[in-house]
Amino acid sequence: MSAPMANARTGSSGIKWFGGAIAAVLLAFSIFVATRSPASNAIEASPIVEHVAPAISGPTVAGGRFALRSYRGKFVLVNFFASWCASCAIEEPQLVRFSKSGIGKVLAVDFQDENGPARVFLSRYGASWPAVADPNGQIAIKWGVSAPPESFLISPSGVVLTKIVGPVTAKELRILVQVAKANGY
Amino acid sequence: MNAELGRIGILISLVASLAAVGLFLVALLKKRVGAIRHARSFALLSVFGVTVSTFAIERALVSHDFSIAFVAQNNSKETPLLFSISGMWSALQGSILLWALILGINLAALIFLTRVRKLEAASNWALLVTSVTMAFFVAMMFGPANPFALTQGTIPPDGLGPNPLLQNYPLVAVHPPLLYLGFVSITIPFALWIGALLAKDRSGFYRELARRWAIISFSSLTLGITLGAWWSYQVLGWGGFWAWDPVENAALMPWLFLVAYLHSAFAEKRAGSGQLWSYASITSAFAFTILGTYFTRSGVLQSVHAFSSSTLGDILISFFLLVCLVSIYLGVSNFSLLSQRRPGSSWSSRTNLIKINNVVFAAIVLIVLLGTVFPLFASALFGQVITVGAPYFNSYVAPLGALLLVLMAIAPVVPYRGLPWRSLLERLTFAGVVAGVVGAISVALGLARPGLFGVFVLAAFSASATVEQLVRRSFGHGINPFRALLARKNGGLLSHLGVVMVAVALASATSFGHKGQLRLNPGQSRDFFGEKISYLGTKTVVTPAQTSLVALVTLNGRELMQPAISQFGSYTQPVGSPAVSAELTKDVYLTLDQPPTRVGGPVLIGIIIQPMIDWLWIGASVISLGGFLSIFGFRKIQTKRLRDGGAGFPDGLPHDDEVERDKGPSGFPLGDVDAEVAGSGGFRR
Amino acid sequence: MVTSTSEGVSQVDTKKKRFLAGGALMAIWGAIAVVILGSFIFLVLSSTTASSDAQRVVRLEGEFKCPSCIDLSVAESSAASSISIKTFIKNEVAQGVSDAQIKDQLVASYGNSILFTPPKSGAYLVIWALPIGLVLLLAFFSLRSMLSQKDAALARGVGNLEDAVGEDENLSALGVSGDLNLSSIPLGDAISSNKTRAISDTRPDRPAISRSFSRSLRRATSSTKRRYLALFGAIFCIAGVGLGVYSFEQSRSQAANLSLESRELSQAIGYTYSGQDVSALRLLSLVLRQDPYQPQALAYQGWLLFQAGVKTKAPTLVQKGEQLVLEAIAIQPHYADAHGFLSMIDLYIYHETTQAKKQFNEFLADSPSSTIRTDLSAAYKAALSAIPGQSAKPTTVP
Repeated sequence: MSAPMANARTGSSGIKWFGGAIAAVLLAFSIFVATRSPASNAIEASPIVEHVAPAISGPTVAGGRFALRSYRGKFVLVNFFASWCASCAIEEPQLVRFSKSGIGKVLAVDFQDENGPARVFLSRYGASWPAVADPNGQIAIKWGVSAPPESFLISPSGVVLTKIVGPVTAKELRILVQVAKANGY
Repeated sequence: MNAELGRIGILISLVASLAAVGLFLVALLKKRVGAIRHARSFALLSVFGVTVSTFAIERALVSHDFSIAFVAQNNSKETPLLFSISGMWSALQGSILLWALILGINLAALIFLTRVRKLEAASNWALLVTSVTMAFFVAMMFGPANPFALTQGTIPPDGLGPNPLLQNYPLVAVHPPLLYLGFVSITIPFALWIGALLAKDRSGFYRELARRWAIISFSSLTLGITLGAWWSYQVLGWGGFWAWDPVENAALMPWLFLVAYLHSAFAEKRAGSGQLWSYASITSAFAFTILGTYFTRSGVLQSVHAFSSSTLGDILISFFLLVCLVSIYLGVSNFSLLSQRRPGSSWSSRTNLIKINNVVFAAIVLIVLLGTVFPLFASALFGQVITVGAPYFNSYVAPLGALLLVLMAIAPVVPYRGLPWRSLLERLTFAGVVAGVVGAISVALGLARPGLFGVFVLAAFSASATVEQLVRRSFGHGINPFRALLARKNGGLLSHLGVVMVAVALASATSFGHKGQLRLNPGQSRDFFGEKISYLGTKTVVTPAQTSLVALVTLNGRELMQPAISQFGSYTQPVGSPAVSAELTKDVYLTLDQPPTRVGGPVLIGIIIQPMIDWLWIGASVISLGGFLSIFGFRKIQTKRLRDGGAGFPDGLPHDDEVERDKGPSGFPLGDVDAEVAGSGGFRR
Repeated sequence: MVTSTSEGVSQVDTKKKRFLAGGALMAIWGAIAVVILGSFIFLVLSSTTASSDAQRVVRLEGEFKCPSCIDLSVAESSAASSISIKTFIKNEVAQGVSDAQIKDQLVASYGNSILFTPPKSGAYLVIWALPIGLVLLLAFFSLRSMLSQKDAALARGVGNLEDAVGEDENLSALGVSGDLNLSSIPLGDAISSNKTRAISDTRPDRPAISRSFSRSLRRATSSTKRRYLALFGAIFCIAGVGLGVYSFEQSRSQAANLSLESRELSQAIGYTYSGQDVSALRLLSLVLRQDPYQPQALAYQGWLLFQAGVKTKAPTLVQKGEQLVLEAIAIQPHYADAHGFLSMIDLYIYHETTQAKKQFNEFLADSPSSTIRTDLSAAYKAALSAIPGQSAKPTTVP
């Protein structure tokens, strides 16, 4: 029926090519998508890793002042925490253990918090390291912090070695420092 | 017990659907008619199996049977009954079961509706396609997504409970089933089209059945998406409703294709325009439901809704590819059949306008798809994690949306045979005047943003053109105007009105809103853009399932609002629940951003004022209602116009009613079909 | 052609009573156009004036993604990190820092993922340009198809016919029904040679079944056919039950915990091969915390510790590494990478070439992925050649 009209428009080979092209694109798309590793919550490399650590200096929650500079020459764990953060409480004993082992120093940054609750929080776990107050989160921004707890391992020369999102453990920190030493830091 | 029952159900379903597939193939390829009845019985048996499994999982959820891992993870003894029931679709495995159940219901409905057409190849091909899909989804529950996997080790005394966000608002009980109903039922129109092509069926029956089925899908999907947006607005606490999240896009893309399909199917039915667009749209809609499922179930994209990644991904993407390749192959090999059409006589014929409309919809889908998958390409090509956020989508979709508003005003007044320029202008004079007046008023009232001005003017244009059409169709024909208004053919116009409401609501809510935070001491009041917010104090509400800290706030001294922060069972992460005061003109939305740190201390209350946002939900419901009206409305209106030949418009040019009637519809209502077939054939067994 | 069609129709129109005279219509539409376009142009021109600080802050807040949320901009979220960034933007804007500098500072600490939309520069321009190209392409094709459609109509002389009818003044004497005739019936006749008939053919006056189909219906009632069907069903059922039992057992053994680990593992392995040892170790220990007996994680952690031990000449680390790799092999005896690692470790600690050769062959027998194979093969050759008196030919590397 009405064949002339239907076929007058497009040569059948043209439409075959078109269909083939779309099929090829879809095939390529499917293979591409299927071979992606699941990207949800991908742990993204922090741009400050292997760069000189941004400066931290300012009043501490205890009332003094402190600067990251003064730890130059030692491995330092910069730990962003807050008294309102639940998983910070989980990692605190591990930080204490790391600090006591003498492998490296700990410098805490109190993210978007008040000094009083932070002092209570630290003393509860017997944390004796300096905690710089960051009530507006402006230090955290320089370090690319999204949500506490986040920690950064700093080499003795002041280079950021790695960023750790979520609670740390003393054991893993020890290994990290050992490996960093092995790599010449 | 429940696990065994559920497994047996799935087993029955898988075996039966595979048997149905095999028997349909035997019937169709070997021309063994005897196999048809068995094939249909097996297909029904597969539906039965899925129903048994659903019963089993619901029974397990309601009776807190933690020997099933799925129940242990998504239910706890404290979970209220409603959220126990909705627990079925609050995680991956159960949601696949829900999918299979709804597909099963559709399959049974298709078997029922084609019961007198058993012997037509097309109906059996369609059932074959549906059965394959059924087998595919049931098979997923065998391996990677088994909802009846047993808890390993000792059975826990209490389960984890559903995700806090899923036990916070009763809408979760309604939203996913409706969304799935829309999503899954697209399978049937797809199957019908494939069936009609494979059988080279020329009767309009299957296309008409597909069209109607697609309208139901469209209406349910519209409602489902809207309820999802509403849920997001009521629960997530950021005051928004649409974030262009991959899951939302996954639901939106099939919806857009459905809309395109409905328009071209309409043009095809009324004016005999080519079927190519309809075919392309409906197959794409189905393919995109699978692709969307892939996006949400494989975990390949970052999304708020993403279920955990699993081996489901590979299976789903393969099925997507299969659907695409089959559709393309059939489309190409039937190209001459699909592209037959009557010639349009003028660029302004409605057929052409609908074609432009479809092109716009296709463009929107491609842009949404591009934005959704681009992060994958970026990480593959540049090795970087990037975000494609709302501004990207908005900046491209908004102008195309404005174009759609214009088309929506013009197309309904243009007959399929075209219209001279003069008459077009004449028919749109009223709408043009209204648009001009609205534009002038909004500038006079100090509207400063050109984009917003554009939306208001176009919305006024579109709305007045649509209303004028409705009025002309309903009044002055000597019949009950109410009856005339609720005619089937007005369904489309009603949906258009809904679209205008949505456009206005979107523009107003996102442009004229105010957002801020108030720090308030108990007993203190503050004004925020004309709203007086008084903070009275907090109270703690403890129920078995949750512990909430509720702030008591009055709005303008009258309405008591209770934004809260709740902690659910074993979940440590607290969840905020906003309080919303909804009015037709504006919503006031309060969140408890920071609870008091000490007794009697200040709280931080987040406040968002969004004007007209309720019209978003109303408009979306009207869109959906339009769909239902075009199926369940009054069938025929014997208008005076038809008797004496006068047209609805004073210019005397034909309207689509006249044009359509002398050609006769290519399909016809289902009720008639059954009667006719029953009368004509002796094939009933 | 089309325009003349339109004129033909409108000539008939003029015979009817119009509710607007031609001039009035044009005047009204002219006024509408002036009002709308005029206001629009006025608004566009007036809105391009320089934005205030407050407007800049609002705009910038919408351009950054809340770092601790999914899908939300800083403006939309009240998470702690968003509040920090809001404060930052407000301070910088107050100090007169330019938009580009603010953006650069945030990108320097958070990376490109802090931007709510991809940057409009470099390779990312693709995503911004593609939609525009796409719309233009679609517009071009649809326009072309519409034009060709018009040509088709023209070739069939439909337009001519309509013109002729339109110019026929007598037709309007038919009165109200005239326009109905004009628009549909003659046209329908004109094209009835093709499409119209096709449409009327489509009335399903009887179900479209082939004769042979209905004939075979009668045949199918014979008992042999029934037996055939029963057999078919039985085979399906048995096969289905077997498959089902098998699958259920499978799904039972490997129920949960598949997802998160594998993601972190693959990333850790990626880090290992790109030399980011510290990050890799961090991820591996995360995996091992969830599942202490994860063989891949154990093997890779062992391998990294071994390498660190070699570099720092720390025998404890080397031994720990070996131990972990051995543990991995104990858990999963046919794990290719672990055998590869062990062969290297054997070679290093004991200078034990035969043992290493055996391990390496086992590694190759497990057919690992090609990248790991080439990597390790190269390392193995290098290690062998470092031992005096050994030729670097343990086996042929495919």
